[in-house]
Amino acid sequence: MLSKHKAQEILSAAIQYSSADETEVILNGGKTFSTRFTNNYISQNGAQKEYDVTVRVAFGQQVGVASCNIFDGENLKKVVDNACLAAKHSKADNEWTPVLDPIETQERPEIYHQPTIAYTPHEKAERLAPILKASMAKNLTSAGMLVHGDAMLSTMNSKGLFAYQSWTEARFTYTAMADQQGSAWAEYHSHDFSEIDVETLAYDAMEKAVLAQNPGETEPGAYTVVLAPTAVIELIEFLNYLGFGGLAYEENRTFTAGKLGETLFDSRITLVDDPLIKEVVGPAFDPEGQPKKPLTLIQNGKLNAVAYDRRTAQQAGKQSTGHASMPPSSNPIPSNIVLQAGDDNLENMIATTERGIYVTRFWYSNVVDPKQAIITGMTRDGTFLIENGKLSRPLRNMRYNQSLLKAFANIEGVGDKIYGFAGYFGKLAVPALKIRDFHFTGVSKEA
Amino acid sequence: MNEKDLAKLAIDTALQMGASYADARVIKLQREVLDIRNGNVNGIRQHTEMGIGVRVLVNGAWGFAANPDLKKSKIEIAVQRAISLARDSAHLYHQPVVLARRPAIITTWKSPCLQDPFLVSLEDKLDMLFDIEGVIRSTRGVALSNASMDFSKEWQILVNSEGSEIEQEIIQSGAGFSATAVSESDVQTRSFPAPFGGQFKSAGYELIPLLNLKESAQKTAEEAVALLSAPPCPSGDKTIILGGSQLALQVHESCGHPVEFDRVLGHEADFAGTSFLTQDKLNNFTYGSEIVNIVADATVPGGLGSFGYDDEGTPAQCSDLIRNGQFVGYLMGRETAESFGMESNGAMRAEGWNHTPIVRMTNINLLPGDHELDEMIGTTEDGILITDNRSWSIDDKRLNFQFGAEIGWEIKKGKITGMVKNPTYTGSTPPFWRSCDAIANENHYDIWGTPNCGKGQPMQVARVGHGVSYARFNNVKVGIGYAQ
Repeated sequence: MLSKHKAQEILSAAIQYSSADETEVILNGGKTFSTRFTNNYISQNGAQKEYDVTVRVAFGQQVGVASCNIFDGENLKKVVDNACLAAKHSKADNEWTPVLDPIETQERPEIYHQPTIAYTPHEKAERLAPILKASMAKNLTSAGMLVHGDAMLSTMNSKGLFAYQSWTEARFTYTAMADQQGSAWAEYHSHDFSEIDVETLAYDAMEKAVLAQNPGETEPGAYTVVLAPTAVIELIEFLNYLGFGGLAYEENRTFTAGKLGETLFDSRITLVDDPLIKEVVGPAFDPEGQPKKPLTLIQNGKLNAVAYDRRTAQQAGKQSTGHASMPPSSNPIPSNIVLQAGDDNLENMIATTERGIYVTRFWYSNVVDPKQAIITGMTRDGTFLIENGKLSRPLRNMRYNQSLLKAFANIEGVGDKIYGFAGYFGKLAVPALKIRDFHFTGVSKEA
Repeated sequence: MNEKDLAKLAIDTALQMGASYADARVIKLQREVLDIRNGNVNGIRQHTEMGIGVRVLVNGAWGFAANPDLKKSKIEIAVQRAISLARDSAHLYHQPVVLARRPAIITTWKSPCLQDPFLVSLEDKLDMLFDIEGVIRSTRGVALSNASMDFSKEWQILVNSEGSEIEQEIIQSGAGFSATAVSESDVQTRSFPAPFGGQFKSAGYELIPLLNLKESAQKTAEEAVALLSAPPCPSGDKTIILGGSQLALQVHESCGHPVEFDRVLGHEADFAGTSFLTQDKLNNFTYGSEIVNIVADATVPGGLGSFGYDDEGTPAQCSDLIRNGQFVGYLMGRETAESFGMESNGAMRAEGWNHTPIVRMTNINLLPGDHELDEMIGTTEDGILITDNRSWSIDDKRLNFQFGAEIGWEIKKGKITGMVKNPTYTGSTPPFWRSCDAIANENHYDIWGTPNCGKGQPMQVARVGHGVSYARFNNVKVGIGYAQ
């Protein structure tokens, strides 16, 4: 891991090389060790190390960005020169926001969990061996990925701002497949490897895969759904992507536009963005060096806030919430999302459902309409019909088309425990949910 | 030491440490992305990177390590790590990996490029983008205007323990624009020549003027505004005619992915998914109607999936996937082909230096038929013409799909009667392709670049191509996305 001292040295050197009026330099990256298994054996075992330095400079309002993955001596100077060259040949950016004045950010050494990075690929293989043997013994096929590594983000600008944070990452994804079409899925993410109960996740999934064999069909239509946390993450990801970015909000492109303070969802829905929460930990500042404070996006169903970077905030007459993306992109979006737990649980949600569908996870979801918050996607790895309070039979995968506005207004139950996951835009922690009138529009038929 | 010597050093070190096979790829990448938005420079980014990726087989199992540092000592560490990882994998292997045989090749290859985009001044590029974006912005009713260019140059040396030394340089260019109109209850975007950054090809800057961006800007922007008040796409079973980037993506999702042989073998079961095109269906399954012919062609000039050699050193080739509607071929690499008693057809590709090669699309092309587009429209009783993708979704076996597009053109009794907004359609792959009754001729044919194909763990993004003209499909469920 690039230490704080080393990062400071590299960033200072880059600032020194710059002839621009303002300079901002960001260093990010880390190491990843990925053990991938398929058909009950390790099929891919890789180690990657990558760091990038990104330099943004401004001459007046002429701005340029350059980045590089090599930053020793000449190469560091070259990347700064490239940014300066780009800026000098550019046109004025009328929305340029000068770099931030120095501001204190608190480094949290505890989220770099030393035993996690000390874990070895050999130990991972040893840990997977009994699981894969058990899978074979049960006549199941296992596939998945056990990943550990570290990451860092550090930023410095020509006004003297400096921030640094390093952290560890561990993630387990697991698919158990039965011969007769049935499959099941488990996933967990944490900065602390010891929090991932690999064995329980895998053996539970094996049991569910057996139950999921020989799936049948049910007619598409509106159903009450009981969603495992692994299914809830997909809905929350799209809710976040569509609804809580300040740029889309200000440009009136999203279903939340103009609705701050309005009740959009059931009162049991409270959604916060907070890098200090254990399940979604991350740096408490963005690449501009702006500190991130806990941001309550939805408070008891009411739209409370959306996320801004400094550029978008300036245009809107608002304050940055610390959600800048890597330059040159300006598309602020929350990245440490927690859907707060309620007082229900999966077993009770199923037991209190007369007829409905249990979904283990959604797959390949995509936006149909951003203003109506309609998304579509498929179920995957364990879909069951619920009849009279029990999982009565496995179902073939089903397609849904659903407005998220309606889905989160139609809440019937919120689980009492949150689980951590890695998503496309950052980290999420969510409980199980029960939702009424969820719309399935098709079934995946045999070829 | 130059890059080739460093790669050879990695191979020699790996063999000394007990590898039965090793390959090393040293890559240097240069990229430039220019983005203009609402009359402002939204971003100018110049990116360079380099690194080495080393793949080894020890006791029949794979290990891979990558490092951006090309110092001799760091390369040796990367090799040691790859060897150690392979040993960790080996004791859980059931069958050792065997690679289909390939003769050693020593060669160089460059993609066709008339004008190096990195030698064109930034001012010239920005002037052109502002020119285009200005036309969009000045169109009454447009709320957001965007124009962008994207260039990349990747140089690679691949060396393997069988004696191959292959040097390649691939230059790719892309450009496009979009216009967005917004009302209280609606948002509509039109893009040109394609959504998500425009058209991309393996070509130099000579591609950019050929795209006719400025000439198409006003009409496209006016369409975005008109869509706000256009009627919604009707619901029901209809004939659809697909073209452009929408047909390209239909081929990508419902043919390109399910013919990847690693998916069939379960290698992607935990992420991208498996495939309905199981081994028993090869040469024994009617995928589409008799007029449907789909090839994997890495040799065609201009495709984003074109190259001289894949990332295992197999020469680029053109192979049949669907012939006269029958399923006849997979995309394979040396390991997957050997497991099926076949030879690789050159489909192993990696994103950059820090990922291991996996089975990938090259250019998956739906070969042209013999119809004129006017004739296809003229013989359609009740249909929708759909060309520019907005949304895509398909199940993990690549059967049930749903697509949405930016715009649709309703066809009644052989004539286009007007635009419709928010077109969506859904279907199941084999019945859909079996309903294909007309494909437009080569006058309408182009290769569309798809620069954002995700697959693999850790996920890799590949740039692939799709040659298509127009194709007509019958009894397709339309308007499903809004049926709530």
